Amino acid sequence: MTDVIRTLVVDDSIFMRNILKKILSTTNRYVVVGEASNGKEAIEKTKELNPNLITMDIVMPQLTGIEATREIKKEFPDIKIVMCTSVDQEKKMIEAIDAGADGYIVKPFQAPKILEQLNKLFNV
Amino acid sequence: MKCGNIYVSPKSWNTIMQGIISEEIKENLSFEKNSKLIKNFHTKKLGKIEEIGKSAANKAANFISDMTGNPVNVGEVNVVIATPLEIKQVVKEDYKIFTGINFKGDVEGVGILVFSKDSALKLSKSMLAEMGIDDNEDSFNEMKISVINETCNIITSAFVDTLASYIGASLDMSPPSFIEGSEYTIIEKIFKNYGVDDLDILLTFKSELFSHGIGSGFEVLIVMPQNSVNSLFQKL
Repeated sequence: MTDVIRTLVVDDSIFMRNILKKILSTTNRYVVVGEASNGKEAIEKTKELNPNLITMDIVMPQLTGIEATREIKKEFPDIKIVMCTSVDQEKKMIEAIDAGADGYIVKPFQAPKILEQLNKLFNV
Repeated sequence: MKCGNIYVSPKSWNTIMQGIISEEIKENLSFEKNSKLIKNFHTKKLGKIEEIGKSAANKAANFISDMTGNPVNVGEVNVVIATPLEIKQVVKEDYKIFTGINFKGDVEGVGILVFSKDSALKLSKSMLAEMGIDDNEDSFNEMKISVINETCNIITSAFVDTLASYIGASLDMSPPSFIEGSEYTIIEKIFKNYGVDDLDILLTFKSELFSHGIGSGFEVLIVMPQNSVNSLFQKL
């Protein structure tokens, strides 16, 4: 694992992307290399930027986060994908994990909760 | 009929009663359209619906409180079963800010947040300030709209997730859409989009959340069309 974790932030809300970027910037460990506002753009940006980590919203236009996760994991199984969503339904969580998600965080985002989950994923 | 915080409008109550009678005498009266709702209607189920509303409103208040840094109080949670015609009769032409999210699955409907322009601006400024962004402009830009949409997303999710958990279903939500305009026109448009006619029976959850940072608060409206009300009564 590289020292710096290249992160792609995917959320259709510019406000939520900013919150996530702010949280990730509190540590030198995570570097946000790009942003996407829907599932389709997330797939394109993944191919272009080759991130180590993707924070993925679920409810987005064009392609949902679960669909995008499934597509990305097929081609890039090593990229860690953590769902960051307001959807708190057990069946959706199972669907996301089945699609290949490595974690699931429910909004609202609090820095300690997010960083703790991400750090666990990367054994930090 | 009013029972606690549950209000069943005269037209809806009349339909429900006629349905109960037709079921008792095993004869279908001229209320076939509402028969499913009536067959599964029970006052205990109304209590469960109220529980869903309260639980979701509290969850939503906690979310907003976390995001604004201000305590948020939940106003009375009212459940209204009424026809679109009766609902429209009490809606005014006031200019409001709306954000709507559709949900679908075993049941479907729309979650709408209704703000006065002043409340919407106060909420978005308060949430941006919490992020260290000062925006004192009294107009909506991409960031402020994103804040309002995200608030709707979180509040509607709280209702939809609570509903999904009660009926053991998985419900999908659409991305939020931001609309400004007359309350009456927007509500009428929503009813039209769902293809409901004036005599259908709709279920609405209505609540208000108040916060120091938001000022006058905002209204949460969850509207479910009749076929979903039928399904909900069946599953509860």
